[in-house]
Amino acid sequence: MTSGTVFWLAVAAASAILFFGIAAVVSIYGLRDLRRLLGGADKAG
Amino acid sequence: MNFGLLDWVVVVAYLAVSVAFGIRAKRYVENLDGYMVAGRRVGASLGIATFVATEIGIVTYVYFGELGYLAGFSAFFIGILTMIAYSLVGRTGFIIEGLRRHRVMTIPEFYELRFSRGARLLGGTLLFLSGVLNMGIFLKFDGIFLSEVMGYGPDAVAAIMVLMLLIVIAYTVLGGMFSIVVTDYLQFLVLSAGMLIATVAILLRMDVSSIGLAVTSSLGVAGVDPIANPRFGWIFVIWILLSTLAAGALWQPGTSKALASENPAVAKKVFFWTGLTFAGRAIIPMFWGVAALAYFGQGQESAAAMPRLLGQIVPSGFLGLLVAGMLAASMSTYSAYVLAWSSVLARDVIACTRRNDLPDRTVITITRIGSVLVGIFLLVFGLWYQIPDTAFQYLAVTGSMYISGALTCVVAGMYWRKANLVGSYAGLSLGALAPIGFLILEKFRDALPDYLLFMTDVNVAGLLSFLLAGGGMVIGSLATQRLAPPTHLTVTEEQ
Repeated sequence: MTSGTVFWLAVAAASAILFFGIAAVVSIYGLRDLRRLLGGADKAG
Repeated sequence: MNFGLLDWVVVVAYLAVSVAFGIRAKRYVENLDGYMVAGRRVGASLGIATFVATEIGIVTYVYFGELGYLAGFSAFFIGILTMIAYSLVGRTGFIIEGLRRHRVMTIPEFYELRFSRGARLLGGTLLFLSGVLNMGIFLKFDGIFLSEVMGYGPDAVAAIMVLMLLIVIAYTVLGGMFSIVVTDYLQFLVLSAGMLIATVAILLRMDVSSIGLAVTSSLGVAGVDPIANPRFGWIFVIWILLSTLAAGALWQPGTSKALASENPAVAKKVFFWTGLTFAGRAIIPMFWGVAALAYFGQGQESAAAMPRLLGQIVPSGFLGLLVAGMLAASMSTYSAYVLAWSSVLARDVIACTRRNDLPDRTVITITRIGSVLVGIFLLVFGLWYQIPDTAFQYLAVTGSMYISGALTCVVAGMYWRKANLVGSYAGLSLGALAPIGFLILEKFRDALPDYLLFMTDVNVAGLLSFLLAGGGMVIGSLATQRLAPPTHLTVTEEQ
C-alpha cells in the first residue's frame, strides 16, 4: 500500500471511532433530554 | 432476492414503532413555536441526535458512496472539510448565535429585521426554490438504494418512492417539529446501528489492504490525491470549503435545530459536537463505496454499486436491521426538510406578500398543505429529472443557489454596518445566477458557443455563485449609501 492509502485508511478509522463514540454518548444522554422535553410539554399542554 | 422473511419482520416492526411515536407526539404540539421549533426546549444531547439524524438520509449514503466508488480515497477530504466547517461554526457561534438571540424561526426572517420585508420575500423564495430542487433527487436515490439492497432491481424504484413518501408525509403533517424531535431520537439509534452493521460486514468479508490496492490499481494517484483527481481540483476544494461553512450556519433544516435549542450556548454546543461526527458521516459511506470498487471493479452504475455490495455481503436478518436503519435515516431527513421548506413557503413567501402577519393557525395550515405539495413535487421530479455530474455536485450547486446569497446577507447584515437593502437584493440575486445558469446551460452543452462552456463546469458555477454574491453585496451597498441608508439591528434578547 502507498503512504497516501495508509494515511486515508487511518483517517477513515479515526472518523469512524469519533462517529460511533459520540453516537454512544448521545444515545444515553439524549434519552434524559427527551424525557425532560416531553415532561415540560405535558405541563405546558 | 436478498431480502428474507426475517428481514421483512424487522422492517415492518420498526416502521410501526416509528409511526406510533410520531403520531403520539402530536399531542405535544400546543402552538406555532411547538410546531416549528419544538418550543425551544431541546437540550444538547437530544439536539445532537436530531441534527445528526436530519443530516443523514439514504441519499447521504448514496452520494457519498458514489463519490467513494468513482474517486476512491481522494473524496475523503470532503468529510474533513465538513467536520472543520461545522465545528468552527459551533466553536465560534458564527451566525447561529446571533440568529438564536434574535429568536427567528427561519433565516429570511433575519433579512426583514436587518433589511426589509421585500428582502425577506426574495430570500424566502430563493431558499424555497433551492431547497426543493436540492431535495428533488432524494426519493429517487432512496429508491435506487433500497431496491438494490433488497434485491428487487430497478423495477421496484417507483413503488418504493411512493411508499416512503406516504409514511414520511403522514407524521410530518401530523406532528411538526415535536414529532420530528421525538422520532429523530429513535431514528438516530437505529441509523447508527445500521451504519455499524454495514461497516462490520464489509470488514469481515473484505481485506482492508486489498481495498487499498484496488484503489491505486484502478484510479492511480487520482484515487488518493484530491488535487490530482479531475473531478475535484483547487476550484472544487475552495468552493466546497465556502459552501460547507455557509451551509453549516445557514442551511435551514440544520439551522432550525439550533433555533430549537434551549439557549444560544446550547445551540453552539449542538453544532460543535455534531460537526465532529460529520467526518464519519461522509467517510464511512465513502469507505463502503471504495469497498464496492474493490469488490466489483469499475463499470458498475456509480450510484447503485455500494448498495448492491451491501445487499450481497450483509447476512439475512442483519439486512433487515440495516434497511430499518437506512429507512430511519431517511425518514428523519425528509420530515425535517419537508417541514423546513414548507415553513419557509408559509412564513417567508406567502405571508410576506401580505401587509400584516398571518395568524398562527393559518401558518400551520399552510405549512401542512405545503408539506403535501413538496412531497408530490419530489415524486414527480425524482422520476423525471436526470442529474448532471455526481449527485454530490448536484446537491452542492443547488444549495449554492441560496446559501451564497444568504451567507453574504447574513454575514454582512450582522457584521458590516454599511450593508444595505440594495446590497441584499444584489447579493441574493447574483448568488442565484450562476447555479441557475449552470442547471439550464448544461442541458444545451453541445449547442453552446466556446466562451460559455465554462458555465457547464459545476465546480466553476458553484464557486462563481459565492464571488458574485459577495461582489453584489459590497458594490451594491457602497454605491447606494445615500439612496438607501443602512438600517441597523436593535433587537437583543436572551443571552
